[in-house]
Amino acid sequence: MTILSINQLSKAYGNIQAVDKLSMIVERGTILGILGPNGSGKTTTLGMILDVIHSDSGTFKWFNGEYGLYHRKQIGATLETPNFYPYLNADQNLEIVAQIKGVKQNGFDDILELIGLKARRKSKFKTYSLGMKQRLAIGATLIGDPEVLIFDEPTNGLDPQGIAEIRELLINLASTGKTVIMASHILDEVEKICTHVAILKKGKLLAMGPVGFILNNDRFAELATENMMELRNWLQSWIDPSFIKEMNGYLECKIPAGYTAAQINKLAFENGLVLTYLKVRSRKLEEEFIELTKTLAGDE
Amino acid sequence: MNKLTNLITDVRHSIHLEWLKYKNNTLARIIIGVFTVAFSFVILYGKRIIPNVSPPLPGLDTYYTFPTVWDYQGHIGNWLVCVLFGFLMVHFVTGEISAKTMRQGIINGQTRWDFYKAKFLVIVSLATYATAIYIISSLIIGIWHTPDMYFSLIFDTNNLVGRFWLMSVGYLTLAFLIAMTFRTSGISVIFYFGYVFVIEFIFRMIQLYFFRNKAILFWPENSIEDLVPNPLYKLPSFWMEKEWGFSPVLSSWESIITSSFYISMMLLLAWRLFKRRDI
Repeated sequence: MTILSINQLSKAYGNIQAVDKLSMIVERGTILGILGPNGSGKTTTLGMILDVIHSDSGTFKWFNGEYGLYHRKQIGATLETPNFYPYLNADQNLEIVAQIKGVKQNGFDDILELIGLKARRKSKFKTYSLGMKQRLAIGATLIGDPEVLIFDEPTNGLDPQGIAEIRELLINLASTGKTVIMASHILDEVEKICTHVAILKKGKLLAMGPVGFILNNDRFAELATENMMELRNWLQSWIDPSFIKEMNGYLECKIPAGYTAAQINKLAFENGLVLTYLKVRSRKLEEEFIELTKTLAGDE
Repeated sequence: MNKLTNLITDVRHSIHLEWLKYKNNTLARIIIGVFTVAFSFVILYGKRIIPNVSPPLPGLDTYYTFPTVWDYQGHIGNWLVCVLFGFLMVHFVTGEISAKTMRQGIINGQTRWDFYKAKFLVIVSLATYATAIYIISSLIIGIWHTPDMYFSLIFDTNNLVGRFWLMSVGYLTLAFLIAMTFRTSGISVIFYFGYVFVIEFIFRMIQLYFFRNKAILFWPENSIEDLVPNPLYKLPSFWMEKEWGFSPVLSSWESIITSSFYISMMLLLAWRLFKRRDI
C-alpha cells in the first residue's frame, strides 16, 4: 500500500529553489532515509508534507486520502528541533500531544520507559539536556501508535553518547514494522537504519531506491607496507591507476570483484611485499553520495 | 442535533487543549491573579486617597453605588483588560510561535483552523472571565455601598455588561492580530501598546487638525474603548459637543456596531495571515 505519494512538489524562497519538482512514492513498511547536504531541501520537503510549509506547486497525498484533513493524526513527526512547552514537564507535554491526536492514553509509562525519561518525567522541559529533549520528541511521535514516523536530523547537536542512544532507539523503532521517513545528512546513520534512501541536492531528487541498490558492490582495499613506492608499482601493474589513491600512511584502491583480504595478502607476498596494514571494505554510502552528487551536478 | 453535538464536543476539546497548555503558565497565573485582585481593590483604594469634590464634579459616592458603580468599575476594567489581558494574549500567541509549539501542534494533527479556533476560544474565555469579575466586583461593591437598593436600580446597567464583554473581545482580538502579524514577543508588545496608547491617537489628532468631524471617533481602538467609556467624560463632553458640534465619545450603539465590524475584520485578517503563512 502506498503511504505517501509526492508529485512534482516545488518550493522557492526568493531566488533559491529549495525543492524542485520532487516526486516520490513511499510504500508501507519502508524505512526511508532522505539524504542530502545542508540546504538540499530535506526539511522543506518534510515541512510541506507535514502542512507547515506551503508548496508553490505540486501535490502530495497521505494514505491515498483515507483520513482526509486529519491524516497527520496518523503520523508521528519531529521537524528540526524538539518543540514543547518549556514550562511543562514531560507528562504534561505528552498529554497535550495526546489531546491533539484525540488519543485517550492511560499514562505515558511505556513511552517514558522506552525513551529513558521516566526518572525525569516531572522535570520541566526547559531543564532537559538536548539529548533528553530529542528523546522526548521521539517519544511524542509514538503517541497514538501512528502508522508513520518522521524524524528530521534526529541526532543533530548531540554528543557521541546521545547519538548512540538515539540511534539505538531509532533502530528499535524501525524494527517494529512502521513506515519511517528520516532526513539526515549523516550517511552512516541512514546506512545503519534505513531500507531505502532518497538523495537530494539543491532541491532535486538525484536517486531513490533500496540502500543496497544505491550502494553498488564495489569493494575497496586499504594497504600499507614499509616500501610504499614498491606497493604503488605493484598495484599499478594490477589495478587501473585511476582507482589508486594516496591516503595518510596507506594506499586505497578499488579492487576487482571476488578478491578477499587473504587473497590480496597472498598476492602481495608473492610479489615480494610484506603488508603491514590491510583492510578490505565495501564502498561507503558517503563515497557513493559524493560520487552521485558530483556526477549529477556535472550533468546540470 | 448531531451538528450541534459535534460543535459542543469540538469546543470542549479545544478549550480543554488550551487549558492543558496554560494552566501551569506562571505568567498567566500572575496576570490573571493581579487582574482579579486589582479589579476589586483599585476602586476601593481610590476611596481612601481621592478627596471628595464639590458639584458639578461627581461625588465619591457615585463611584461605589448603584447604578454608577457599573460605569466606574467598567472603566477600571477597560484599563485592566487592555493592559493585562492584552499583554497576556500577546504572550500566549508569541509564546506558541517562539517555542514552535504552534508548528508542532499542526504537525501533530491540528488543522490551521483548529489552532485558530482554539485561540479564538481563548479570547472568548478571557473576555468572559473578565466580564464575570466585572459583574461580581460591581455587585459586591454596589451592594456594600448603596443604602437603598431595589432590583431595577442594581441592574440599571445600560447594556454595560454586554459592552464590557465586547470591549474585552476587542482588545484581545487586537492583541491576537498584532501577535500573529509580528510573531515576536517584544515587537508585538511594543506595537500593541504603541498602537493602543500612541499611534492611533496621533492619527486621530492629525485627522482632527484637518477635518474636525465625528469621523475621528471611528478608529478601531477608540471604538473599542468607547464601548465602556470613562464616566468622567460626561461633563467635558457637554462643553466639547457645544464647541465641536459632536460628542467626543461614541454612543453605545455606534461603538457596538463599529467595534463589532473591526473585531470581525481583525479576526478575518488574522485568519488570512495564518492560513497563508509558512509556520
